[in-house]
Amino acid sequence: MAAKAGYLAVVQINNTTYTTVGGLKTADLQIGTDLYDITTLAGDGWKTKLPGLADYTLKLGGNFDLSDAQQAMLQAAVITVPGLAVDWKIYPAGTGAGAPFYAGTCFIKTEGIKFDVKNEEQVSFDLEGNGAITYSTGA
Amino acid sequence: MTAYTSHDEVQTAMYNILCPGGNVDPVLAGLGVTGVFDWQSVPQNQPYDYITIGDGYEIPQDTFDSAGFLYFPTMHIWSRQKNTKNPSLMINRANQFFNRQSLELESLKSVYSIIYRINWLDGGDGLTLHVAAQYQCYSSQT
Repeated sequence: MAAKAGYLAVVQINNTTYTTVGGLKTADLQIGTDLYDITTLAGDGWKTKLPGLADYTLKLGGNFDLSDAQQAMLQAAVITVPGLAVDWKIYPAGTGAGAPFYAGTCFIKTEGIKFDVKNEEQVSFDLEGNGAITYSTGA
Repeated sequence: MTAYTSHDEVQTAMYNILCPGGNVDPVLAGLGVTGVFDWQSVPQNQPYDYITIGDGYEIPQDTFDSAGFLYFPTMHIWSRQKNTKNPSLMINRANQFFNRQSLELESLKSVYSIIYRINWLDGGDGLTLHVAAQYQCYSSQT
């Protein structure tokens, strides 16, 4: 399978309609399942595990720009209405017809804003999943 | 077609500031600057001091939804004045133009221009001071 260029990705949030978040440079989605160690003393030297609950996190980063309505909404979900659930989609290869995407609902745990006298202002949002993440094609 | 580079737009903006209307900025002229040129277009026997621009390097700074450019143009002062007093004041004047400023670009949005570094160099002939002032200019399409 051929590699895909990272710049093809599109990150959208549901701001009345799903709309692209402007100014982003990175989107880091981490999906996993808790694994419990249930190794017994009488084992053969290898750990054994019991799967627990599934979870994911999403970290967005880029240029700080509150003139972008979606960035403003993400910030509002931290400052104005803390705990506001945000629906999101990430298209790994653009939003063309039938393009696959990840989707879910998150709470925003942290907004980070970096002011550096030698660089452009930068923002990051750490989101934590609320419910399942899905991967589907089209629509 | 929009060029995928900020080189021309930043260089043009710099020239227009250093040489408004084709005449050297009066403060720079008062410090002894006789002309501002593209590095490959300096007239033969051009009297010192003069300034050359036109070279730099660029690092793409795209976001997912827009092109962006981090461009480092270098402005060169070539001076044969007896000391560095006036070249220092030339740098001061250039910093008024290009440090902590936004540039007027033709199509791109200038986010900022700041000073990056200044090298005070031997001009190579034993007579000339070469001051290379490099700026950091970030611009984006949106």
